[in-house]
Amino acid sequence: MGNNVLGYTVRRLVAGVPVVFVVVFLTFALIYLTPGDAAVVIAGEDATPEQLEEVRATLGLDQPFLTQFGTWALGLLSGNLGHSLVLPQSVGEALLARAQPTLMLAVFAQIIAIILSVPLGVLAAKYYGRPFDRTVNIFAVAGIAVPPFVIGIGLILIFSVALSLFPASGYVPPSDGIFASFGSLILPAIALGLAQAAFIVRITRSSMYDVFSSDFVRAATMRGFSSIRIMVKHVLRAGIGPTISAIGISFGSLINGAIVVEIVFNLPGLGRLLLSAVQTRDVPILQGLLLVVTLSYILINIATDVIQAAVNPRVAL
Amino acid sequence: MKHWFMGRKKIPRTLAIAIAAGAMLAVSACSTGIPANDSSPSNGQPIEGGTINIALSGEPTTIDAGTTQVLITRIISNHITERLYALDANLEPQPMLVESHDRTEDGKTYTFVLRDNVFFHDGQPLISDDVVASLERYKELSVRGQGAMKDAKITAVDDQTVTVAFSQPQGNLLSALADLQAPIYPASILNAADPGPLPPEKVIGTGPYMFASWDPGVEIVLSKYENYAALEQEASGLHGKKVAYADELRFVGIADPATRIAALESGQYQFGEGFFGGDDAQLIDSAVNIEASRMRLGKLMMIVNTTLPPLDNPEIRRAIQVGLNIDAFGEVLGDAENWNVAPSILTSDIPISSDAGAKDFNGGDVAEAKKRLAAAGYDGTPITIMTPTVTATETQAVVMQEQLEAMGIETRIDVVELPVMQTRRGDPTSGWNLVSSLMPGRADITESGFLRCGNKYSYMCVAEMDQALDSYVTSLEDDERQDAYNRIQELFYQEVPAYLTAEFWDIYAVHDTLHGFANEVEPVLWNTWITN
Repeated sequence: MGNNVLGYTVRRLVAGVPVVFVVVFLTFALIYLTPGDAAVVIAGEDATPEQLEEVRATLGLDQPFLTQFGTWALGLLSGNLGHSLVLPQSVGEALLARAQPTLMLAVFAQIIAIILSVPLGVLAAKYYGRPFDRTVNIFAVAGIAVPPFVIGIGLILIFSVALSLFPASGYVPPSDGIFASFGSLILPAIALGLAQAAFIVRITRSSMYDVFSSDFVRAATMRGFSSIRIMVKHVLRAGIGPTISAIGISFGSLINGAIVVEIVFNLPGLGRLLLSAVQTRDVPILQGLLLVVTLSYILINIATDVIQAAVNPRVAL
Repeated sequence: MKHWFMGRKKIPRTLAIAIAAGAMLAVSACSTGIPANDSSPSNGQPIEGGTINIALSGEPTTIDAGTTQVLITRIISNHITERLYALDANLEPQPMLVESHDRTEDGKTYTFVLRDNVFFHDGQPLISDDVVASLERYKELSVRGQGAMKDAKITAVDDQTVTVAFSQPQGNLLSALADLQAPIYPASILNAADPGPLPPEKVIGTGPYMFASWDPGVEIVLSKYENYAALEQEASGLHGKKVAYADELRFVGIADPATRIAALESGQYQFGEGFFGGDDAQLIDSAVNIEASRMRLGKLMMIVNTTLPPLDNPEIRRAIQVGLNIDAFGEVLGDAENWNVAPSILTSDIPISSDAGAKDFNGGDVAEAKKRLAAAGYDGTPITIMTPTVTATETQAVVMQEQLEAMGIETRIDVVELPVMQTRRGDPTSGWNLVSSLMPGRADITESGFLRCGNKYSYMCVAEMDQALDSYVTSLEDDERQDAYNRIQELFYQEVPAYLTAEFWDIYAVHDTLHGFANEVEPVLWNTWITN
């Protein structure tokens, strides 16, 4: 399977190149067409038109559209993402500095989502239509309906303000203490993870219910296998496919969800960087971010397919 | 004061919360230490050391106040840089980096002698070349500098003496030199600088704190400047003796106001900025350990594009003024303690403010407005209000829309991002009639960029207005300047280049572990200390 996986990954990555190109080109064009540029932000509100032009020339914003895009694309080919127009950092440095909180948050939130959703989904399917199933359903609907920022503010009010258990905002990197880092991420991860869990639990419940109702499970039950054995060896293996897909999709969407949660909890991640880059028209940062986000979506999709194939031999790459 | 969270009976401390809290207690024991809300008094005695954590409403794009009036930049810059003069608690300019000054009898030439033994953070002594370079930059980069120092000839006589000479008398120079956009930087830095703001490491001043680090998206840290040359006079406003009790000031941008308040309440931060009336004020007022500080008034206003129909007709502009009920603009800012209504162009806390020419202000006479609109030949052309995505200006735009529609004027609101607004505002042909704006408290009428012909945000050229502004600048006596101010305001209500709506209080939040905070002029954290 090793060669298959490698070949498949390379094929998918190559197929992703035009996608990346189209995304970054369209974004560049949209930002170019939108009124307001970084020079307006940098020069200050009192700047005269001459001063604005001077700043524009310094930043290269007075160049034609294709020249600006071409310069950026050529830099990319040599591995240079450029320099931020507003921050005192290169794009690479900015992305690297902000990637850690977002990745930590996304992984942490996903772990919480999986731990919560898979057992709940399987059990809801097993006890389909019974009170437990209905309770799980209420949780799932509430999790989807209540946005993460509301959950986030609620968690801050309870665990930071009222109980003083965790910090209300900010991020502590693991290098400054693993427990302190954990403490700074737990509330945002729960806020983000609950919504993901709600999505995954619905998919899991539905796919597992189909498996529970299938003939081979009934046959296994009639042959006297224990319910744990049936669940682990038969039901989970056969029904886990859609759950893996849902986890993959939800992991991708964590990047979007992280924007709001990072703002509520003031985490210095990629989501907040994206927002400030849009507000300040920091095009190089925006382009770099979109490149990273697009690539991560492609990689997550590939990883999802590979895991599907590994778990379920009926899926071929 | 009742704790706002626990005070809501509908959210009891349920068993579920207790269980969840208990479960989390174990991990939290090892989590980041949240500073306890230590109420132990310092017996009024300042305590040295520690870090004051300040929650700002956002991260600034620069800490160089020479290029912007943005409050979050000013709050940081105030601690790093100083000006030749500084506003005291009564908003009067007092000598800060200047030992003495002399004005010739004709009011055209000023001579300043600089204080001795003042050093920049990089160790260079303050000399007159630094003042010349800084004032030349001020003259170029700020609206007020462009007005107050238009034809100024700034000369270094010797290392400690600077002269500023004008072709006309200049009676308002000291106030301009106290402008927060006129910081004094070393000439060596300004002469080598690119256009635009200085990079943070080049923001070198003479203030009690110096730039230490900027981790973008995370924090800006200032550290105590050990060689700070403090004045002996008692502290007042931005003037007087400044003592850096805390070792560091740490500024963190937290965009969401609810999170900002929660972070203050939890004790993570000792000072917070960027709050308005309404929800923010309610949350702060109901918290047990933070106090609201209402420091300076700002103005909300609708700046008029006087070049685009229907508001190119001054009769129509005046007719609308008659119909506006200004109280309604204040009421949307919540409790009455959060807002004020006053007809003065400058906020009502500035001594020179007056009600000259304001007979039609806050009339709310819609029937009369309709009558005058008809007489002015209003043909039904709709009005577009442009507003940035800022809650206060958006709300004002909605109130304006309602009132204009009551007068029979079809009105639409165009909500745009700040950079879009800044660009479109500079282009009066880009299809907007009114811009909903929020002006921070200004001490001087020449800072208002919508009055003088040729200013970036002025769309009208009225010779009398320019003359009145010139008289204001050249008046050597206070009563002459008051007359000039009154004339400017009369012309303002005659020409209507803007509709003044409500005055709002800039609200700050002070945690009870921060001591010595003075509610004067601008938020500053020298002379303050923390107890932990």
